[in-house]
Amino acid sequence: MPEYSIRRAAAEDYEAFHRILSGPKVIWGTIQLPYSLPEMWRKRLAEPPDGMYMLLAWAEAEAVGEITLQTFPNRPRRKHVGTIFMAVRDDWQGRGVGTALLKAAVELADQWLALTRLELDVYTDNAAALRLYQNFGFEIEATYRQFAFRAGAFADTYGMARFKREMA
Amino acid sequence: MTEIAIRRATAADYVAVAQIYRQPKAQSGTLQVPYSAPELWQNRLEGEGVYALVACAGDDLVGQIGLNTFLNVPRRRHVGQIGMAVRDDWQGKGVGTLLLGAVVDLADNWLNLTRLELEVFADNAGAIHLYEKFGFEKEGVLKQFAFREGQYADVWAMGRLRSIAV
Repeated sequence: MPEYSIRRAAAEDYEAFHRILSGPKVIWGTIQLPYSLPEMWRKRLAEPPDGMYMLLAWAEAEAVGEITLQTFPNRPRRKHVGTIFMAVRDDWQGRGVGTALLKAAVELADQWLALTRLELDVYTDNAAALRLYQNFGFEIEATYRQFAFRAGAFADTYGMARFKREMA
Repeated sequence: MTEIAIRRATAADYVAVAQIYRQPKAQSGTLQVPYSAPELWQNRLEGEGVYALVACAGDDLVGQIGLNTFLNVPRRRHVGQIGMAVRDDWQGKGVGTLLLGAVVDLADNWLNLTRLELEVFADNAGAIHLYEKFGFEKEGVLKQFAFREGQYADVWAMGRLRSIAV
């Protein structure tokens, strides 16, 4: 398995972000749209909302995946929670990029941000993503019917969550 | 029973709406915290894609409901998210039914939303009963979803689907 280096995404990484999130497989597995503008990502990366951590996985000079950990600094009663969004570039799927990214986000949440509940949504038929999340201890909590429109039809998602193990 | 009127909320209602959510029951049943600034509600009542309604008994604001839509998430444009509260001293008097009825009518008949969703604390039997009356179904328990009175509390995620007559 190649080594990936995980770094915080900066404003100048917006084209890499845009490329990752424009692949047909990634669009299928997220709520992105075809023909999105790179500019949208430049703004998001330059002025991220409070509590949003956006990381990129690099294989040498190539950005091959991204993960976003969103926390809720303005919702005091949910400040133990982080929501995860991620995508691995179409041509790099199945090579451990997702594992490297999720490991980094989970460590950030567990070891530094004191989050105890991580949550995410995944299409019920996205087997590879489900397996990845289950490897990290995420469990299915809910099935959201017709959560989003995808390739011409409404698709269901699972809500998944992972709890930090009790500290000894 | 006093006549209750439902109307669109305006930014000018923010103090009265904050008052509703500051009551102990309404606060504990939602995600509000004590001592929050009323100004928090200014944006929430008139944001883009937000349909905020209030229930009025005479000059008194006795309940509030917000329907949030996803203008900027095209793949979720069929979805509306609901948050609501009835003032503590008006609970159990049909205010919630009027508010939710108004929002469901708006969603079904005018906004063409086909999925409505909400979260409700798992032990809030009165609210769950109200939502089930309008066809919401439980989609799963989200554990330790929020902090409430000193501990983490679970919520039900609920969803209501409407099939479109073609």
